[in-house]
Amino acid sequence: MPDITSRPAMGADQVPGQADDYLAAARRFKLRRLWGLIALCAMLLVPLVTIYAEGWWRLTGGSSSAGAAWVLVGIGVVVAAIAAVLVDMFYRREL
Amino acid sequence: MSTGMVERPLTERSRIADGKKTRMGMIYAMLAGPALGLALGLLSTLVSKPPFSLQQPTGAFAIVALLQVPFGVLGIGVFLLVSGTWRDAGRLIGHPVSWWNLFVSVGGFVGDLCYAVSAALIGGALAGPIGGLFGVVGAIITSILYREKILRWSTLAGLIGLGIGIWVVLSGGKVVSPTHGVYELVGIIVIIVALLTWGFENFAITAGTDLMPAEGFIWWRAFLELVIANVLMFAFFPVARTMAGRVWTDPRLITYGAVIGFGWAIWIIMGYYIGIAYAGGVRGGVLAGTFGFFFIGFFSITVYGVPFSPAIIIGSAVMFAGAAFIVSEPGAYLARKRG
Repeated sequence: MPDITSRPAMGADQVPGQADDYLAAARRFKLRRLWGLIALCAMLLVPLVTIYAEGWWRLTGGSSSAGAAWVLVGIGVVVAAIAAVLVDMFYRREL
Repeated sequence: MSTGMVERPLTERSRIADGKKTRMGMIYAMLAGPALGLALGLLSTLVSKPPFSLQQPTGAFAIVALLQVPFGVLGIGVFLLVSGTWRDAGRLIGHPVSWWNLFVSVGGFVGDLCYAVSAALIGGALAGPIGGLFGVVGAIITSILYREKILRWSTLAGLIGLGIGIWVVLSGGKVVSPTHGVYELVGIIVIIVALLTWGFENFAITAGTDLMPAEGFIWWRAFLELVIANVLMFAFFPVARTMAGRVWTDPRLITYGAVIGFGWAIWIIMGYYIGIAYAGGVRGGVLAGTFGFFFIGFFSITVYGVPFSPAIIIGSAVMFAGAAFIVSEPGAYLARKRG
C-alpha cells in the first residue's frame, strides 16, 4: 500500500485541476438551468396569450379590475424569472 | 477564467464563492416572487367563482388539487427534462434520503390545505398576513434546529422589517373576518398550523439540499402532493367530483389552471427550493415567503380588482427596507451561514 503521508501536501495557494473541472461543470449547469427555465416560461406564455386572444380574462374581472392587465403582467413575471438566472451567470461569472 | 482568480488561494476563492452563492440565492427568491403573485393571485380570484363556490372550503381544496398541483408537476417535470436534472430525481428511488421528500411533501401539502381552509373561514385579508409570516417562522426554526446565523443586528432588523411589512401590505388596513366566535378562532388556529408546517418545510429543504441538489427532490414533493391531495379530496369530499367534471370540460378553466400551475412551478423551483438551497432557510426562506406573498397582495390590488389601500405602499416600503438589510450583509458573513 502506498504511503499517502509521503505525498506533498497541496498548498493553500494552489488551484487543483479538479477545481477548474468543477467550475466548468457549474457553468454548464447554469446554462442548462437557463434553458429549462426558458422552456417553462414558454409554457406559461402559451395559456396567457390564449386567454388574451380569446378574451377569457373577463372571467376574473371585478368591478374595479384592470381588465386584461394581469395577462400582460405574466410577461413581466417571465422577464423577472429569466433575469434571475442571467444575473447569476453574470454575478458569478468566474465560478 | 482570469489570471487573478487562478492566483488567488483556493480557500479565499471558496469563501468568496460561498458569499456570492448566498447573496444570489436571495436574489433568486426575490425575483421569483412575481410568479407566485400571478399564480396565487389568480387562484384567489377564481376560488370564489363557480364551480369552486359550490361548497367551501372544498372549493379551495379542489382548485389546488385539480389545477395548481397537476400543472405544477407537469411544469417541474419539463424543467427537469430540459435542464438534465431528471437524473437527480431518479436517483432518489430506493435511497434512504428520499424520506426527506415525504416529510417535505406532506409538510407543504398540510400547509397549503390549512391556508385554503383558513382563507375560507377568516378570509384572505386575515389569513394572508398571517400566512405570509411563514418565512420568518421558518427562519426562526432553521436558526434553532440548523444553527443558521440569525443574531446579527442587520439580520434581526431585516426580519422584523419583513414581518411588519408583509403584515401591513397584505392586511391592507382591512383586517375583517367573514366569520366570528368559534369559527374565527378555528380559522386562526388552522393558519397557525400552516405557519408551523411551512416553517418546518423551510428547515427540511435546507437540510435536504445539503444532501442533494434542489432539483433532485422538488418534483417528488409536488408529485406526492398531487397524489395525496386528490386521494383525500375524491375520498372525503363528494362535491369535488362535480367540480372536477366541470373543471376538466371547460377549456377556460384548464387554461387558467395552466397559468396557476406553471406560475407556481416557476416560484417553487427558482424562489423556494433554489433560493433556500443557495441562501439557507433564514435568508432564502424568509425572502421567498415574504416576497411571494407580497406579490399576491400587490397584484390583487393592481390587476385582480381588490380595492387599493395606502397601507400597501407603507408596508411595501418597510418590507423592502428589511430585505435590503439582509441582502446587503457583508460577503464574509454570508459565506459562513451556520454557526
